[in-house]
Amino acid sequence: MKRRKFFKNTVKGALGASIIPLTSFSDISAQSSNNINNTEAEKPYRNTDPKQWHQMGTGKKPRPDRRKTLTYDVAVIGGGAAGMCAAISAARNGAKVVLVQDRPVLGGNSSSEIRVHLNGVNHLKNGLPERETGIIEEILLHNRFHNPQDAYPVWDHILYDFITREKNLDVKLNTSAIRAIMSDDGKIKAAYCWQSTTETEFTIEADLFIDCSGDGLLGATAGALYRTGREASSEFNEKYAPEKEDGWQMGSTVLLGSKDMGRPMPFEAPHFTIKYDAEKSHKGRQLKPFELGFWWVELGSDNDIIGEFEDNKHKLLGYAYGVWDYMKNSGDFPETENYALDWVSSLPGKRESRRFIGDYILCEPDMLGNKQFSDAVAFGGWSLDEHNPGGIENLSEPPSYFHQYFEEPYQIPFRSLYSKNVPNLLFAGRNISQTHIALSSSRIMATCALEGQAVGTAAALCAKKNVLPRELGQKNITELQEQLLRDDAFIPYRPANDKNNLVKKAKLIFASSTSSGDPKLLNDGWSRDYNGKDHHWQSEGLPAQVQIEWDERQSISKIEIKCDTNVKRNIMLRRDSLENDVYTTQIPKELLKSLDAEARVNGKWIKVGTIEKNRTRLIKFYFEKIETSAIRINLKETYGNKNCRLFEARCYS
Amino acid sequence: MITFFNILVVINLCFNLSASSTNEIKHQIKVIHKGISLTEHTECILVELQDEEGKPQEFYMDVESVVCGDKQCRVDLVRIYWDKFGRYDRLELPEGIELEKAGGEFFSAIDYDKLNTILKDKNSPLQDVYKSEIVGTIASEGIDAMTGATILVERSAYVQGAVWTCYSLWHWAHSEAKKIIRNITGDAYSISELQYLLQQNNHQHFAIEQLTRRKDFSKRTNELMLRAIEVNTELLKPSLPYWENAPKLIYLNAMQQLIPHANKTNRLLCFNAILQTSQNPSPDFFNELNLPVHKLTYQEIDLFLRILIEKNGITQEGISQLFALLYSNDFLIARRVFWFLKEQKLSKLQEHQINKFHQKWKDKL
Repeated sequence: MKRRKFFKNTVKGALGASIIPLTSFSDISAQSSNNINNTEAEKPYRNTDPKQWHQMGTGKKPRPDRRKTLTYDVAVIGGGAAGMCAAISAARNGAKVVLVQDRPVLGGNSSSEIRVHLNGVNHLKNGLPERETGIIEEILLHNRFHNPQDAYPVWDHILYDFITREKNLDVKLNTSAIRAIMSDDGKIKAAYCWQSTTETEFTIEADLFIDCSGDGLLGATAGALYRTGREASSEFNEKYAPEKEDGWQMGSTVLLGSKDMGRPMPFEAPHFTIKYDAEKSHKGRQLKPFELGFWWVELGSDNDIIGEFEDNKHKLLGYAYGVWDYMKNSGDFPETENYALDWVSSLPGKRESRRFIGDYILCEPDMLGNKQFSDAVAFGGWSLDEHNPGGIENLSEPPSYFHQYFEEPYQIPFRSLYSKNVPNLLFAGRNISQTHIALSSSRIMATCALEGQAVGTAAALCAKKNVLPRELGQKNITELQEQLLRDDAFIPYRPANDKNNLVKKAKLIFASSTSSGDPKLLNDGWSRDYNGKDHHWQSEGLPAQVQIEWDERQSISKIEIKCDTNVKRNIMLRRDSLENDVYTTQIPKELLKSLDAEARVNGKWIKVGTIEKNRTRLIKFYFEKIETSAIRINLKETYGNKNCRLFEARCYS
Repeated sequence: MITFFNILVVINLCFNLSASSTNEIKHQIKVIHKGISLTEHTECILVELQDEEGKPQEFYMDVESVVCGDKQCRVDLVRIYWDKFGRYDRLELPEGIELEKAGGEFFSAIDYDKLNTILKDKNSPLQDVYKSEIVGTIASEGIDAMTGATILVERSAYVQGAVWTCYSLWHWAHSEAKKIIRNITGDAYSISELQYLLQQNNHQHFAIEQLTRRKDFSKRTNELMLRAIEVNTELLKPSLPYWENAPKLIYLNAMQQLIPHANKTNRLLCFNAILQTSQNPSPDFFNELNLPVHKLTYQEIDLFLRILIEKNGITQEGISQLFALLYSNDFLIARRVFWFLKEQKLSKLQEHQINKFHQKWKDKL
């Protein structure tokens, strides 16, 4: 079939599906653009007559002025897993935040528009997950409670609900950050944005910008250094990289879904279908299960993958329908007779394009060698899963090379999450500072989400301390790591040691019963059992109590505990609603459901908080400051387990 | 259907089916097999073999040798035997059938020995393994597919080339069938037979479990139970449901006998049991406990004082005894006792002592 070109490789084409305004830009750099004759100074009414709009109901003749300048501490571009976690963590840590998302829904590749599973460290070499905690887990649990039907359109609104309830956080959907407006000192001063649904231009000013958009247009227009393509193996001593560098970038995928209609459903392929040649295909291109499409219907690029996106999308649709046509009409799959397509994505899920350059470039030997970074802030552990060069146009090769599985998660350093040359730009997601081979593992969404939480927290600290990311990394990395750990992120081999945590000063921690672990381990800084070592206390039956005693009186207003959600089982939304030993659609039965907390004041126990329907791993009791010499946590019920397991208990003034 | 069986391993000749069994009773049971489903029960027929007196002698079940995995292994119907206490005993195969390993190779005599050792180990590493953990899986962002390429369980836990067979059979042998067998046997025993077993080292847990089920609170059983715990302190914990269900007098008497001589772990178990009991001990019960207060840890003191408050066990005699702890070397204990005593009705002398303590430690209270 002949390739149809929807767009030429113009600026508009490079922006993919975004719609950009044809009116003026207000920044200096815009004046040198093609729109120079359409500037605000020369066209104060922007080609409209102030009396052009006759509003029939009121008789008024308003001139719409839809240009707004908004000011924040932190602006996050991109509303996928990384962007959401960045925005939430920045807001929770005290920054005033805006999240700019160019789609009508949140979730990026996991949204109902694309429907890729929100994978993370799903399975290490031992076959078990080492699931991510922190904000991304909160989101996944929120979904388990409110979307038991596993509906993707509902998932979109689970995310919307989760993020719009957050204080200090504005969300701008259908809004594209088109370019950076720079200040003289090389920093991004503002992001010039266009909200297509309201025909509104936003100039978003902020102290810190976090580019979680994947393609990284904001960072690129700010002049941030970036790479595309594959590094030569010699550059970073990567055994799975090609001998010579090239431009190959892993492709985007069009997924589809089908359902059993209970009667024969003939299928006639649309005109743009590209025939699938099964005989020439590598056996790794598995056609079963067929119900939920094929992740290997994928097209990448040797060159400008962003500029080619719409052309590739057209071809991808052709390939996707081609595989389905083969399933339905080749005669080899009678089991598809009653099946019909009920969803085909119109937005291919992207795997790779720009990779920004930070102070450190994460690479394959770091991951395989489990390099210990003093500035580690996140982790990953998906296999080195490098999809084949050529995608579906290279049928003879396996669709992906699962080069190697990891024995245990690897660390991701903070220096890979901020720009080397744009001082107030951070990033998280697939565009971080890493090699192509490193990306083959770290691109997975839950890993991106951990990076997001790290940079969101970092940005809030930068705003608070009035420093830039590099300086924060050099002078305050301990504070950043401690805050992440307190907020239930996990950094392998970096136990928490928060000097403000008053439990560190406790004389005694004991429990009413113990079936495994030890109550003392609630104070060892580890928030999960790891690498064969216990870091938990588990009750024998319920109710149970944990009590913490101090020699001296303490001023306490916060009690924070971390309970069990079984990080050895994946809980993400999946299209197949898989229920087995390592994937579940259920609320983790380990999760603590009801509990209360007491403090002993003048010898008497006073209740400081009660939670009847807990839904998070990190459980917080915040109350008016009291002087106390002991606290007691009364654990009453889980979502199914007869015992309750805790990993951490903290108290703060 | 199985017609002839070739006995592979006979552990105890007196249990030999052909030698003494006279009667077979079929029990329809439902069990969870981890290799089949974690949530759905599988229906099975458990066969009870009775001796000439009509008592359970042993049990067997015919099961598939492989219930999960990569579907590469041949599936045979095999017979698993348990003794009357629910312990795995042996495996039998239909005549002419040999278990197969990967690649179609038959089990050797060494393989059968190893399999038998694995099945006898109730704490085998296979216990906590899910079937998905047996081998590595392969996937990109889509749907996982099983490869069977890498076996992830430690080697000693399975016969090489037959991991699925070992996994399947172990989870049959150690399924809920064990508990069902114990209850069938327990129901067939008289109280005096269970009392006899309570005195035998090997069957005390079984006897306690069944006497609890039978709710036998006779004087003889009480005495035997206390004696058994005295000799083997680990029996205290499994005995607690027995005491909790006993009449109040028996319960209180048992606690009074058990607590003073118990170690810390058992004392905490008893204290927690008292805290949660629906029995209603009188204040005298606590006075007569004869606690070695100076040997108690902070946790024990804390729990005991909590019991006194929640169970209305405070007496003047008890208060006097507790005053000694105001001078404990462990400040946490002293402070805990101070707060308890401060709330009680005290004599002038006692009040003076309390005030003195308060004066001394007011910054830490």
